Amino acid sequence: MHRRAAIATAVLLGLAARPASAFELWGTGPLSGSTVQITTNFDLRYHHVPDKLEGFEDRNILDYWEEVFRNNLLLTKEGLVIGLQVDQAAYFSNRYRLDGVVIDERFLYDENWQSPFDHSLVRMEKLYLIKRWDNVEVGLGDNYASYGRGLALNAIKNTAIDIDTSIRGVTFMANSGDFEVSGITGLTNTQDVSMFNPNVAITEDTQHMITGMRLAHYGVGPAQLGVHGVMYRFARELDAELPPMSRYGDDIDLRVVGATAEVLGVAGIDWYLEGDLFDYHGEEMIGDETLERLTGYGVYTSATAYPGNATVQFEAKRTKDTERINTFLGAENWEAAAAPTLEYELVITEDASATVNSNDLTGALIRVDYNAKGGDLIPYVSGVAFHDADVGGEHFNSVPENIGHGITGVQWFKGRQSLQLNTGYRIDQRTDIDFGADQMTHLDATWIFPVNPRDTFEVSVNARKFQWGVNPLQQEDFLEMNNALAYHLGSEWVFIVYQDFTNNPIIQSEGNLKFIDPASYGQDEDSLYGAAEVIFHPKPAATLRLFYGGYKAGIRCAGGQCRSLPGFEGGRVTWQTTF
Amino acid sequence: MTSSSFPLRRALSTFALVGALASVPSMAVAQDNIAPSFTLRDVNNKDYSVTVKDGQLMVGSTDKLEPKKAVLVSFWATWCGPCKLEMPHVDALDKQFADQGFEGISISIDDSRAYSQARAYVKGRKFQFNALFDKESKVVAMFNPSKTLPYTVILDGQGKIRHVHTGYNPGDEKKLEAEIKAILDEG
Repeated sequence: MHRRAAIATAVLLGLAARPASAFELWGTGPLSGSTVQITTNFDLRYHHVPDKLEGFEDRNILDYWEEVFRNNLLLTKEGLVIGLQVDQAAYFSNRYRLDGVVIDERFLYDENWQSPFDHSLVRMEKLYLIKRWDNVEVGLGDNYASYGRGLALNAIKNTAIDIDTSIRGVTFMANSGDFEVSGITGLTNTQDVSMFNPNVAITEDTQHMITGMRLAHYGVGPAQLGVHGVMYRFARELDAELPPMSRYGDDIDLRVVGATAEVLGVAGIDWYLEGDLFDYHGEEMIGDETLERLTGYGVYTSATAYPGNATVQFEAKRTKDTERINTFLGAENWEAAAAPTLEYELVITEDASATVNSNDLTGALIRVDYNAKGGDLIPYVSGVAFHDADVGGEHFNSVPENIGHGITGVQWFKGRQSLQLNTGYRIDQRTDIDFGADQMTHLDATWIFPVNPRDTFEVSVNARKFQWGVNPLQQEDFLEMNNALAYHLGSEWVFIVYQDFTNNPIIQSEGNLKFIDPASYGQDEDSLYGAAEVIFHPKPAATLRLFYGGYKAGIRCAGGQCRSLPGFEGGRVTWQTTF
Repeated sequence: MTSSSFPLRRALSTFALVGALASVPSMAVAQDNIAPSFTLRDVNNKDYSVTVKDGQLMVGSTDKLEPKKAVLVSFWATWCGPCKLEMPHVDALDKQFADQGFEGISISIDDSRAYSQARAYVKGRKFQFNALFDKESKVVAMFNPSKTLPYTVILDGQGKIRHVHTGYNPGDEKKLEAEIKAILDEG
């Protein structure tokens, strides 16, 4: 009864939370006349865990409820912005007690976390103040920075995979004429509570020190020139219980300096060139105790032309020991800096991630888009080639490899009908032929067409077929798919059926459609997943989602970062208001 | 970590507290929120500002701000399929109401790594609206902290956020058109 009451109360509270609180502050103080906006996100999830506790196979003891509540407050006044993000998460029904003895318990956060509650925590994730005058801007609290094309520093929000690591400290920016200088210094602050993925054993932040500065000169003819420098001093995660300052090494771990040049419209082409030098100190960064320092470098260039109705884009990069910085941060699931991958990132997996993680990579991309029928039909083709000489690290190749990836696709719009489609083939050919080649074929398509003057139907197919050469794990070939059918009932309702499939033998999840006899389809058991969802927009800025079913685990990459997403089986209620 | 006899109750108490904080009654003097001012770079690497001065929405390059009666701001990213469906409609609205004091603006939230691709996308498709780039997530964090995409905001001539749309379904452009027209008709 307690459980039901708790869940019902949680739902009511979540729904009752003001969906759109915009009000103006009264009075004569410094914040009078400011307007305040509160944005609320609420998610209640029922997790069904297929595994059974030994000795209790007749009961779903391991099932539990999870609730996440995110509140963002934004205060704005002319030239002033103050932001606050407070997250709260809790587990319900996460313990099984028999005759007064706790048989099983699932923990929301790890034992190092300081919270007055056993299975709930409240976290002030972000707090910032930005004050802007005519030519000067100062920020206190959580801020972000990205230099060049991200090789030296790329501390940003990565919405697509729910990663948000800010630098909590001080930022400034000043400009005068064509010159602009900006800087940032502080400690990294990782968003701890995930709104969209299951929260499990949340750990305390490991706060690294980052200081960066950038100087840009605009208007040198059609060119913009810039220089930047960044210093990193990393906390050693294993020493997290030590006093804060003693977690750091004796020296700065990494210094990066770089220069950029961007020239627009010269000979009808937009040009960009960047070079960065990396100077590592410390054994943890170098991985070789005989070396006191190691240098790396990164070069990236792009050139884009627009002849007639076509867009021709060329990108190339050469990186050597630039990824060591992210290898060091691997356990924390975010990356401090990342070069453009030149890849179609939706098809990067943990087994084909050389273009993301390599410490010795050379590659180039060329892509051509063509605007036909006034932009209603846009076919495109792209090709990328890499040479990956890194034989260590986390990816599979123990000898150098050459990578080729061709993609072709089309975007087509006609009234309320649209098609977005692409397909491609990638091969990672080892230079030693005995090691064979990894191959991947992929297809992504979304077709939307009207059913009647009000409603539309959407068909979405995403499939990837992997075939492996010789590698240490000797993984088997597999196919994975994420498909969906959606009926859009006007603008207010969407009804969706999802279907996932994977016969990847090392996937960390089980399919929930076991009633379908796998033998009759020639597939493995636990390979099929199904789910249904109803989405309701009671008003344009509010969304209610009801989901039940399962989806597979997998890795998802965006913005040069990849995150392993756990599988899910159960139900969830999501209420989101964005204003 | 200590064990509690009433973990559920404690968790619920915590949640209730946060819920109550979020449920603070609106002390509404103004129902509409003034949009935060911002300046970003456009496709030509020039500063472009959206700001409210003396109660008037002003838009344009920093040294040449112009008053507007209505502005649509659409957030998008190169990896967002529905955003790409919406963008031609934003362009059409920009052209349709341009002579009535309206302006359409798109803001890419792609990070700097994908900047070359994002700029090529809008330039290559020859969109007429002003395309801005929020490479460091600064503006999207203020307008749209949950960062749902596409995310579209319509401001009136006083800089008030009059309408917000999350996501895009075919046909939504009709709503956008009606909302813009209603604001412009207010004079």
